[in-house]
Amino acid sequence: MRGRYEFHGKGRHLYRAVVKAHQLMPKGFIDVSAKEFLEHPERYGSEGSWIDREVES
Amino acid sequence: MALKVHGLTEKWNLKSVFGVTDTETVMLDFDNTPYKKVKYVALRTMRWFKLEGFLIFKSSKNNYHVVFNRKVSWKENVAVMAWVCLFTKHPKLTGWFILQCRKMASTLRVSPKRQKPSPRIVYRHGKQDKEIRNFLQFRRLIKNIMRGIRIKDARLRIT
Repeated sequence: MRGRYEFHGKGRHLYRAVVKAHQLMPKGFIDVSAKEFLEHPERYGSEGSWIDREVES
Repeated sequence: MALKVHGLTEKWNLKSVFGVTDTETVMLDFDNTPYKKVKYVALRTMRWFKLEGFLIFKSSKNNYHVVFNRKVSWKENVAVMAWVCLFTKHPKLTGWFILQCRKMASTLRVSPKRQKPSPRIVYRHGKQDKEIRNFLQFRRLIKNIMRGIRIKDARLRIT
């Protein structure tokens, strides 16, 4: 699955969202506030693990 | 003179990559470009668009990122990036530019990636008080998050 997260919001929410995102693979291109992601992580990602693949910015 | 980058490659073993995304900051990603050319293009761009100042990061050998100081609209941002692509005729920069247009925001990497370390500041020019300051604040925040994840990851491996 290809995808990426774009989080915006306050520092503490961003930190928690990034930690959470390590266990949840994005369902495509996700642009969401970190707070919203933390409230409903299942909406934006599914369980899995990150693989090492060449990505562009 | 450009500095050699040393850094976090050994310590960072997670497969995720972190970056800063913004629409109001002019950012450029020069791959396979000598430092002198990056500096020259950044200076020309800054003067032509009155961008007040810029910062050059070295991301790996012959790969550089440039961040400019003046806040711009996304429309102006696209115009600046397109101007640089036409000016340099750089295929990799043009590819990066098209990707940013597709995302409707510019992104530059902050974390290490594979064998590449975190980008390091190698040159500053002009004012640094607006978008450059904001970029550096976000960069610091991401580095703190990375540090937190690294500590958490190490603890998990111990237990």
